[in-house]
Amino acid sequence: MSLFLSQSQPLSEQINTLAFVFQFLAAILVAAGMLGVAALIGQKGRKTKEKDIPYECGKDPIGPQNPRFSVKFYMVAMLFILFDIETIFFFAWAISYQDLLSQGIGALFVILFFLFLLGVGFVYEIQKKSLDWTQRG
Amino acid sequence: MNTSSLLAWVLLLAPLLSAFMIWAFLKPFPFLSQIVSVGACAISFLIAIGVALGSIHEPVTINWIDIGGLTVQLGMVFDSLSKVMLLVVTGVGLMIHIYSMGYMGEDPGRSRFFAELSLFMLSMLGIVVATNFIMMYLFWELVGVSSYLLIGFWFEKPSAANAATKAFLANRIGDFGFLLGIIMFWTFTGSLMFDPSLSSYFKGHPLVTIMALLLFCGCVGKSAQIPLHVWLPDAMEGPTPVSALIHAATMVAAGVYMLCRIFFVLEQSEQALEVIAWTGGITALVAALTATQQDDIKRILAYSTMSQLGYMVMAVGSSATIAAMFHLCTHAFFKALLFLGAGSILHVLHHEQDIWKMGGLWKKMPLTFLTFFIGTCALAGVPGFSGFYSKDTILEMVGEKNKMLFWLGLFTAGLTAFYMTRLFVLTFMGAPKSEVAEHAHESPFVMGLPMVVLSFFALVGGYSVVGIEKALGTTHEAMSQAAKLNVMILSVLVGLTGVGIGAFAYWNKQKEIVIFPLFKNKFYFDELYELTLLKLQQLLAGVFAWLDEWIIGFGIVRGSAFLVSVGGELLRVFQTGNIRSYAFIFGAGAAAILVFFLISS
Amino acid sequence: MNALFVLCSPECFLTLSALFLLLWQAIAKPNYKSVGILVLASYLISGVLLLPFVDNQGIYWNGLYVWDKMAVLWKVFFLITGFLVTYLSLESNSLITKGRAEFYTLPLLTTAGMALLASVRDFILLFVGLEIVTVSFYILVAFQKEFPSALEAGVKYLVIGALASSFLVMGIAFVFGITGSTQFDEVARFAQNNPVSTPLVLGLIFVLVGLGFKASAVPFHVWTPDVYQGASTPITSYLAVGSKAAGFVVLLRVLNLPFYDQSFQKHWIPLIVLMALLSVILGNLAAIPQRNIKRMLGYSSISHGGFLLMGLSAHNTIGCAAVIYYFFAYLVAIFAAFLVVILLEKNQPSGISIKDFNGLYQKNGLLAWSMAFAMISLAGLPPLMGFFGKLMVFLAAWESGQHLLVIVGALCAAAGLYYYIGVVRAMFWAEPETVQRIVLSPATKVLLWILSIGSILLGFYAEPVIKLVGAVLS
Repeated sequence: MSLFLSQSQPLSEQINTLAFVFQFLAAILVAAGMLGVAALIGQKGRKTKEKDIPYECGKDPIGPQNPRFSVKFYMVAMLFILFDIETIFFFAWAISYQDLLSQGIGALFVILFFLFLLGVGFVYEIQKKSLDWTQRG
Repeated sequence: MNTSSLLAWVLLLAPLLSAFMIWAFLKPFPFLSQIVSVGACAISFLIAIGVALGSIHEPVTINWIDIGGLTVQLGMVFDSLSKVMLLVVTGVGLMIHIYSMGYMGEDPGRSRFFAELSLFMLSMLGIVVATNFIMMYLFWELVGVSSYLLIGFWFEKPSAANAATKAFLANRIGDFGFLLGIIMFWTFTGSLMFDPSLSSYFKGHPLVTIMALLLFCGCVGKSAQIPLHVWLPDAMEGPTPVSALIHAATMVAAGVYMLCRIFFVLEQSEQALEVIAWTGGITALVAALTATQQDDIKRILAYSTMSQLGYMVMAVGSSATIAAMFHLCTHAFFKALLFLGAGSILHVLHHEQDIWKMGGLWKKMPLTFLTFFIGTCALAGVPGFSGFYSKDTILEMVGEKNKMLFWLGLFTAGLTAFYMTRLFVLTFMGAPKSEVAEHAHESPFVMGLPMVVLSFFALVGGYSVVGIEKALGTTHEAMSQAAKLNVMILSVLVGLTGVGIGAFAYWNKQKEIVIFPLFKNKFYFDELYELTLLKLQQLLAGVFAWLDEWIIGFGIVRGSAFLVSVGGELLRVFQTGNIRSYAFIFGAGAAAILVFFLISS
Repeated sequence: MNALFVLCSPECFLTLSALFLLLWQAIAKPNYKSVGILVLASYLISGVLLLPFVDNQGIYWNGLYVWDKMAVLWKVFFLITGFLVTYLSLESNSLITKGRAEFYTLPLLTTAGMALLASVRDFILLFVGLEIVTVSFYILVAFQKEFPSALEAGVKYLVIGALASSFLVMGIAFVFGITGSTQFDEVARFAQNNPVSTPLVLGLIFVLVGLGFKASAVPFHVWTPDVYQGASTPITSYLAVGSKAAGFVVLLRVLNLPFYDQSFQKHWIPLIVLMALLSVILGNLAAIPQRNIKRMLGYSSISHGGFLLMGLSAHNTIGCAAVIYYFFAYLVAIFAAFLVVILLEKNQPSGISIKDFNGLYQKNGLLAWSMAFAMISLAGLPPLMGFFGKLMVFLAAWESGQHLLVIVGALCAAAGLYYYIGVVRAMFWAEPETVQRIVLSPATKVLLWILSIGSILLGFYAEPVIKLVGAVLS
């Protein structure tokens, strides 16, 4: 601890440093603790070949274990996330809009520009047929 | 800018333009290239004469770089030192340009040759007129580059290409020290000018010895002093005019010139001067010993060059800069002459370089014989020839400072006389020892003329009437007349003994009489470097190749085709492991830095 | 005035033109080549639009954004970089089979991000700018997705880049946590008035780690050789010049304002010195055994990062000037080298090794000379630009007392000569397998001439550039 705390620093600084040390310790503790506790109290199951197959009873599976999805799923999922995340920005903007109005109308243009960017992205996405299921690739 | 100033710049511009024009336009016209290159050299020579006569003055300096305490100017300095040097460089250079027209007459790449020759003239003249360290360093490196190009001129020969690389790398090691020395000088003084008044900044400073020695490193590389001398003998792979111009008369002398230029730094440190003197002395001795046992005519001359450069460096180390410059000038004349003579022999003997296959050439090549004789006498220090006077001056000055070095120098003088006599006797005297030597004939006139001119200077260059020594400045007459006479008698005796032994031992001999493996194998310097430096480099390269292969790359990118064929599964396993290890190195690096700082703070 | 000024700034103009071009090519499906030429035009127009505002000075948006001479100079630098990258992309069009229009347009956004970085005065904006650059590079690196090596390079870049970004954010969070602000002046003021505590130093170190990734400084360099080799050649040149410059412009800003205080300097100078030392040694030595030219240039780029850090470690005006000048030298040499590589790759898409340079002089003299000048300039021999860059860096570092660093640096520069000269030797002094003349388009010829002559002239006559840089810094 002497690495972090020195006598010359004022008290507030020391508290500051202490908080930081605690954060570090907490991070390590949480990470190590989860693994450690799991290893301690968790029961280790026996690993057998049968246990490792997807269906423990019944027929042996045929073909590859993890089913293959069309890459389209990922594409749409990614695009969805992108546009979904944008709503977060709207949220922040909407909350502070009242306050921002007092500084002028600028805040409105900012979000309109943002919408414009989204719109460009959307048009591009449609034109590139990324949402078209029948297209390949 | 007035006319005089403009003319001064033409000194540098003429060869620059010539090099550029040949490279850009005149490549397909070898004859025109020759004319342009020789013409440019002649213009430079005329201007050098103008400078020496005092009708062309130093031009206005141009501010080149000026930022935050670093000021570099482009200027020219015309003092006694540079005036003499300019004359020597352009004069000998012009002779060699003319000679090359004959020597390279049939070479398909001679346009390139002349372009490179012009480039070399530019850089050499740049060194001579440089007013500051950066300008000198710049042209210093340019000289290195053009010499690299010229040594490797016949790049089809692997030996030539290797020699070029070797010369380049050896020079770089020296230049690295030189650059550090320059940087040190700048931190001491805040200026880069060659200005003796700056020495007050570092007078008596403990680091001045280190600075002087670092600056000396540049000379060690360029003037082929031990331990960086290994490149010079190999550099003889280049065409003979190149050997004459670069590796005898001018470039290798640049190191000595530089030492004289920065003598105001060197003289601040007694220890540095001591080191310089001893380096020069040992180089002179070792090179002379090696030369006694070589068979290749050009290599003998190369070692003799090294030995003479050692003399000059020794003189500088004994604070005798004027003697050093004097010897530099006379040496430039007679060594260029000797190389041109050797070139003339090689030219007619179809590049047979072994002196044991020559002999009896005095009848076949009378002009070459005569001029070579003068050159040999001058180098051997026979009284009446230029080399005698300059060598004598050096020995006098050295004897005043350091008796040990004096005896060493005297012994070397004897050796020089001995091996030159050996060379001369085996080449020209006796009966022809091979088929080609039987059918030798005289070289063309265009090659003969420069030899005649140079032999004239080799003969009279040392006389006080010609006044080279006087032009360099006044020598201080510290020695009594009697002591001077003693030195002279001693050196004449030693020289004649060397000549006598050489003539007696090698007259009409068919093979070497005694073999000293140590001298024959050049003191095993190459082998030593092979063992240490190359091994070390190979080891380092090997270690890094291994690191790159296994720890950093694991051959994924390079071996991806291979791995794909082994199987995608394997590839995936390898790939993930790989990125993980990358991330690990990244994280470990960050963690190491963190730990370092937490502990240190 | 303000609105006009914002619209004319490269970041804004380039973004708008990128959006326009994306939409236009998605809707109208024009010829790919015309998109590329429009991209080139956008860079030029953006440069012209910059002209009226060169002398502007000011700090905008509550200290978020700064417009000074240095910002303008770097914006110009990035515009030149972007222009050349696009030209190289057009030259290498045979290698890019899919989505060529995007391949031309995306660098516009990257350059916009870089131009933004030239003006940052706030850690948040710094992060945004850096992410614009990095994210677009993720895509660009993996663009040739039919080549496994490109995909692999992309993944590596992504993983390591994300790691570096996380360090950067962490660092910014620490700085904000202690000083209560992300604005550079505020942080600097805090450091002046308060003692620097350990967490704040940690913030500084984390930020430097994140930026070390961009500068590819050892030990954060691991991605460099693989990514350089795997990415398509125009993108490699973009990474080598643009991305590295983006890292350094931020370093210049950050180290000279928020972390300029003495109490910070005593922490970051040893760190920068250490990274410089390691980069110079490892970069130069590891490049020696390389056979693939792009991989070799990757290691060479690590070593150049080291030399640049050397300039930063001097923490004085001449050091900063040296860094800027060095970058211009680096730009000229690297683009000449990569242009030659691209032209050779046309006949041999599988990758160029040093051996493929054998006898290039006989195939095309101009190519060989351009490459030779590039190599010599990178090696730092006079009188080319690279020499003056190195010289100034050494001078600056020596003056600030980093003697060991300079000595090691000079030694490593000498060792580096070995592999640069190896290329020159192969081009001039080795026999080619086949002597097949390479024909160049007139524009490429002109560009090669400009780059070669620029490298000589601006080296021999470095005054104007150095004057410019000096004026910028004063």
